[in-house]
Amino acid sequence: MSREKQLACTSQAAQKQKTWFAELRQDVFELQKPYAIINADTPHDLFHVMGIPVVTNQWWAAVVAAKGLSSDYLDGMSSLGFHKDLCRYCSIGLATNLIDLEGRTPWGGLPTPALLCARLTCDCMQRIFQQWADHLGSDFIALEAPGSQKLPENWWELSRHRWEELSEPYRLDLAVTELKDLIGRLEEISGKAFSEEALRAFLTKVNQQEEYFQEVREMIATAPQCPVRVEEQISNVMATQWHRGSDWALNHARLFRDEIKARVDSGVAAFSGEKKRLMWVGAGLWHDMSFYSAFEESHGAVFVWSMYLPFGPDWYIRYGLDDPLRALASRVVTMNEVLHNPPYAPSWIVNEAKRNRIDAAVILLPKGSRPAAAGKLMIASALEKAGIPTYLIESDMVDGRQWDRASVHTNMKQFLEERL
Amino acid sequence: MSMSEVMSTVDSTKAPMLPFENACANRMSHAIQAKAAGQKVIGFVGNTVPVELILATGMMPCRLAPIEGDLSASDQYVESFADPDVRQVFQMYRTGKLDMLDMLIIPRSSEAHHKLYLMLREANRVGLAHGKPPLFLYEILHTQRESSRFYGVQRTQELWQVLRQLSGESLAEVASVNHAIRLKNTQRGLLRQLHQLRWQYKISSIDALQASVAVQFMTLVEGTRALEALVAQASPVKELGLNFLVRGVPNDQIKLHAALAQLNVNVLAEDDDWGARAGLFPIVEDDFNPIEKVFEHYWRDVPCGRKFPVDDSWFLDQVQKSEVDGVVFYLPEPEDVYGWSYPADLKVCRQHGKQSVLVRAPSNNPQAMMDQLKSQLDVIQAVRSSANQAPR
Repeated sequence: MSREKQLACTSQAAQKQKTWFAELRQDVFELQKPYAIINADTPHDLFHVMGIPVVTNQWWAAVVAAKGLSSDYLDGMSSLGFHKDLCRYCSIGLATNLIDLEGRTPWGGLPTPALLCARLTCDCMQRIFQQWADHLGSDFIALEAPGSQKLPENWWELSRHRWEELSEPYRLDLAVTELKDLIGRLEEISGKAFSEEALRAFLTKVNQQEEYFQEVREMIATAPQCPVRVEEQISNVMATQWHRGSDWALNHARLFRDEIKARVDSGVAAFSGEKKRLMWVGAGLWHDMSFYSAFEESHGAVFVWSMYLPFGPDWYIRYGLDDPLRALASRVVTMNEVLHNPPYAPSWIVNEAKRNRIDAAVILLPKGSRPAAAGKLMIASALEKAGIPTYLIESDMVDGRQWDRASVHTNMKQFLEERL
Repeated sequence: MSMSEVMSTVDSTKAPMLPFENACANRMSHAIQAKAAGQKVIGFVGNTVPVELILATGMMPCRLAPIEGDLSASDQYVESFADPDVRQVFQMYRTGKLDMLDMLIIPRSSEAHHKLYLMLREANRVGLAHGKPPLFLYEILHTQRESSRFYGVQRTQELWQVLRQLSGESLAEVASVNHAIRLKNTQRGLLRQLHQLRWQYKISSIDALQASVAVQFMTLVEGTRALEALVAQASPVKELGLNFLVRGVPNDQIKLHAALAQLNVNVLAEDDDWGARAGLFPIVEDDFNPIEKVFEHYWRDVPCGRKFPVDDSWFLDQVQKSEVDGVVFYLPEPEDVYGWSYPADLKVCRQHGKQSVLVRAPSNNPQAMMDQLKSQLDVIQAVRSSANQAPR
């Protein structure tokens, strides 16, 4: 069940993605312009600065899931011999190129990119992306994901101004070396020379965009009632993030802020009967976004928080751009880890729960994407210790095949009634 | 036949095998004894920690690869679908069973082990564990490019300094590391001989795997001595109907091989270094920087799921051999890495006219594994039988 959007900018964000993708396909097919397929935790900024459009793998997976097509693609992967326990979130994109759904491909499908790029976080990453690149006849650039022995639990207090302290200097050195290699390849593809000044200007605009998000997250945390549903937060924030550093993104972030501010100033809530504030921990439930508003009427339970909005200002902002490449490297080199792994994630999420007056947390445990699921019990434990009840949902973010909506709803209601 | 009946048929009476069987059954006993004798013990997980550096300091390496046991202290914090050894090591760490170690080294060689490191750090941070033994993340990367090589050499030098300090010994770096390289290379040579004997039917695949696994849980001297005895006493063994390779998740148990033997299938080699890829690459001694040579071995030569570009050359070479009838793809739940190669591997098998068998039963359900093997091998053997009987 889809609800009417409460914010005008939400529809604009959705429309932007659709028209942008159509234009991208046109540019690739008709003008032979290069583009790239890249993972969410890679340095999109370099691609943007070099004028190479990017399709984010996880965004594309979410589009496929939202259109109810992930089951068809995943069944198709099974018929090709890929077993059921292989990661789904990062491989749906590959599936859309391997499997022909005869006219049901979302938005016409992904054209052939000039290159693919991923950080080697999970062990499967190079296998998925290399097969994908081989199938498309494109290059694959792999960025390393070095681990850290320096694990500041208060990372969000350091990330804006003291980002050098977040990582060991040698990890930053390695990341900068790899980014320079990537730039070399992007220069070949684009025919443009890299400009450090252009990157600095770009990152400055990203900072400004995230500052708008900072204002929004403060309003959500402090307003008497949540002014915007979490699914609309995600739609606006992520469309903006995928186009970050552009005039459209900066303008859209401001529009989003303005709409939220107007609602807060007027005392408008996403749901006026809000009694309990919930947080969603983990990737979005892309195959059933209606879940987020399903318990408003029955229990006054409103999802007010997901990682997507607050992570922007807390992790993307980098002040002190004398060496913009090193600043960007400090964001890339630990990005996925900060979001999902202990000790970064439990400490941040507990802090966020407190500042957002959260009554309970619902945690996604996606067995079908094991690396994304690892560490979630540690997060649950930290929240419970902080006095915040938790409810774990075993489901995938893109694969709705095992999603038993009725059963999950029954259990969720029981949780709300017994623990809150 | 049940799996327990199969295991009871494994011949465990041969004297040269006894040290290996004992080591596999008591995987930390050598370390416990060393500790009791006053030696420092360094624990590690995985196959990419440079054991030579631990040996060079005079400390005892202790590989952690627990198989089964109580998980009550782990289950609340480590997801049930995490890799089995991750759950076990977390349990051991939390319950003090690893307190005897002077340090625990975790390499960045699998995402599962990286997560283990992070979870152990978290356990210490929130008071679920008490910080013993201290943890060391060995930052070995596996992209085969100069920046990763340079990075790895630096991290290995750091590990060496930490080990040196921990040992409390004043060491001549080149001489001590080269000495350890030499001793390990001797063992590697014996492992190569051991696995070559399998192709000549002079040792069973079960014994070969058991011995190859067991030396990881023995002192270097004892392991080498036992290998020498085993290789020296090798003698013809019964030939089985089919000869297969095993590819997939690295396997440190003999259950799969025992089940296959029961079904008249011999395993010629495994695509991992618990088995036939153990000892394939000796390390070159070096008069100037042996630590770099040690690092390069673990970065370049050792089988690792994170290696990039993905290196399938061993499999592609072996599967073509005329002695090989087929491949067992060992992909027990919840594996999620090696299965990405499975469809392409199947094509390779078909291209070379080789049979294939898929095992997805989890390692803790040997009966299901037996059932899966039997159902597929029955078909293969029936087809072969009818082909042999068909008029030419």
